Amino acid sequence: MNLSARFTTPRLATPHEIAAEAIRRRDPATLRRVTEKYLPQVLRAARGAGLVAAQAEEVTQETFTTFLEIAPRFEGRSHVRTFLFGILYRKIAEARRGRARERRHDPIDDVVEARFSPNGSWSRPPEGSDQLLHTHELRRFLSDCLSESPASQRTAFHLREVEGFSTDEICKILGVTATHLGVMLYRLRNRTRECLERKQRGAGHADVP
Amino acid sequence: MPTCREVSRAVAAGEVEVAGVWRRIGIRLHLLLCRHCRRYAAQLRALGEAAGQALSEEAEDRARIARLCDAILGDSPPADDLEPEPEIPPAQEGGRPAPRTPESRSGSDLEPGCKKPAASRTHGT
Repeated sequence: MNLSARFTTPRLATPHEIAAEAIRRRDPATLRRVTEKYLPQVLRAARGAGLVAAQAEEVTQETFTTFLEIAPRFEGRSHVRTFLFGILYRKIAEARRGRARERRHDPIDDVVEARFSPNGSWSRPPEGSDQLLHTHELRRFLSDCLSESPASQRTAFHLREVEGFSTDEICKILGVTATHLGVMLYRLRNRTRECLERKQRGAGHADVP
Repeated sequence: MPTCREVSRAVAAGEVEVAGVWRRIGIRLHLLLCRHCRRYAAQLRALGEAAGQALSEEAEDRARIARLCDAILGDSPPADDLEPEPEIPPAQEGGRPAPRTPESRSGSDLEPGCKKPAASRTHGT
């Protein structure tokens, strides 16, 4: 017995529902449009998660192949973009063979904690300028420093900073709670900042390899 | 008022936007008064911006994107064998309705990211 069907009045389908329906029945033109629209973003996110170019392309291709296969299962409760990035994230996790579970303990937590005195104020305040490094140096060191973090954290960071996804969407894609997402971002940002600070300290004296 | 440890944590975890009003005011006030936390927040912002710039430049590689599109969509039947093109014609930017020849319609409503680099769009022309 479907109660909701009994109590809802007939209404016109929204554009979102029409699109979801077209995706479900694998309307070729619709699938093509979705692929063409989101492929650049998906590729960029795969790179952002730390995959090398060839690997990123492979994972992107697998993501869309899977999308075309499982399109009938798209329920339309979330945006097709969220659906796609969810597939991408699982493909990345597979490629890395790393399960997405966030470690309970991460060494970066201790590193950050050691910068504060017991009363909660900085005992070792952040060094350097507000920009951390000059633009070109920042560019040069950034990918090194980002690669110190696991793919799950990098994906979260990428979706937030590069694609500008909402907390809600990122949580759906990664299958985590908002608190958990906060921990991931906190760890990645601190680890990367600490790394850049080290590079900057080194750059002051000699050329860093 | 929250401590430096609490403020830095909220900033790094992206909790400031979702915090309650009073907590947000506490954090803002702390940032106003504490140059260390202000620097920390600025550095994280610079980090995010730099990451965004580096990657969006890389994604500009149109040839790579077109190649991937082909690989994914290539084995789907060519457009002529499919259902009719979407009935709603794409908005005409130039005001000049393009004739719907097979050549013109293939790419007419593609999103910008995935267009094949047509001869006129390649470098140096």
